[in-house]
Amino acid sequence: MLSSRSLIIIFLSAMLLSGCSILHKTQLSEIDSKAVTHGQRFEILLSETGVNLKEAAQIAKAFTNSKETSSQIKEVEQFISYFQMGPRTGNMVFNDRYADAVPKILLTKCPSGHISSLMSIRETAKYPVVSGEIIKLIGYCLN
Amino acid sequence: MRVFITLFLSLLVFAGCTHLQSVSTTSIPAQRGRKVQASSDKIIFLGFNFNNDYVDAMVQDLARQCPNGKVEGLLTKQEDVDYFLYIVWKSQVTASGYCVSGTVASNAKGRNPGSDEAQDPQTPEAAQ
Repeated sequence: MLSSRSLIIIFLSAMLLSGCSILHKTQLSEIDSKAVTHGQRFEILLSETGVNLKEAAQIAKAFTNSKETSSQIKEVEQFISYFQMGPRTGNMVFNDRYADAVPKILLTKCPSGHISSLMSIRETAKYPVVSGEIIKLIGYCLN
Repeated sequence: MRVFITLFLSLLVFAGCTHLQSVSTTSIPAQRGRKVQASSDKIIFLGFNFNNDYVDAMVQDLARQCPNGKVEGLLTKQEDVDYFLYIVWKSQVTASGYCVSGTVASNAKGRNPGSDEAQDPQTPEAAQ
């Protein structure tokens, strides 16, 4: 039998290491029922690593005993927060061009260009400190 | 008095507050006779949600409601319904649109039906 300590460690690991999925936006394009029934379904997944600096600062604070270091971390955290304002979805990413490839990938998946019933999903796979900032596209291609 | 306070608190706690996450729409067709709607939701407990695949079925659902046609004027709405202090909530996506048959009502050229622009540009009158 597992000890209660092992159970707690397993539970905490499961909580920390499993990525919770957060749905931000869903958008549907016009649906051609012919494409859904006769077309070929495709799925595109684009992802970029997001970083939650607030969480990183909190973890860093938890690992230090020095009050001075803790206050310095707090100052850095505040300084960074001045540059992160306004509405947004998910964590910040260091490359905002990862979504630009969407049209090109769509044409690769569907060379005929007859795409219908395109569902665009913006979601986050959240892990401690880091996250996967995902763009998912599901559609049907008529050849 | 105590009963009223209890009732008021119960209302506050058990009533579902809704939060609108996103809304999007496609162009509205001229033929709006037949409305179709599909909805998909998932109950989330303490934020534990490992995938959002529940939204995938909506496309098939809408296509089933409009066989041999196109669903246009699609309004997609995503909302969260909070049931109890953000311990339990429902994530819900609703899509509603109009079923138009074939190419007749699709107004694919993007012109206003009934307006002067509604003439075919291929015809000599429109070309002038």
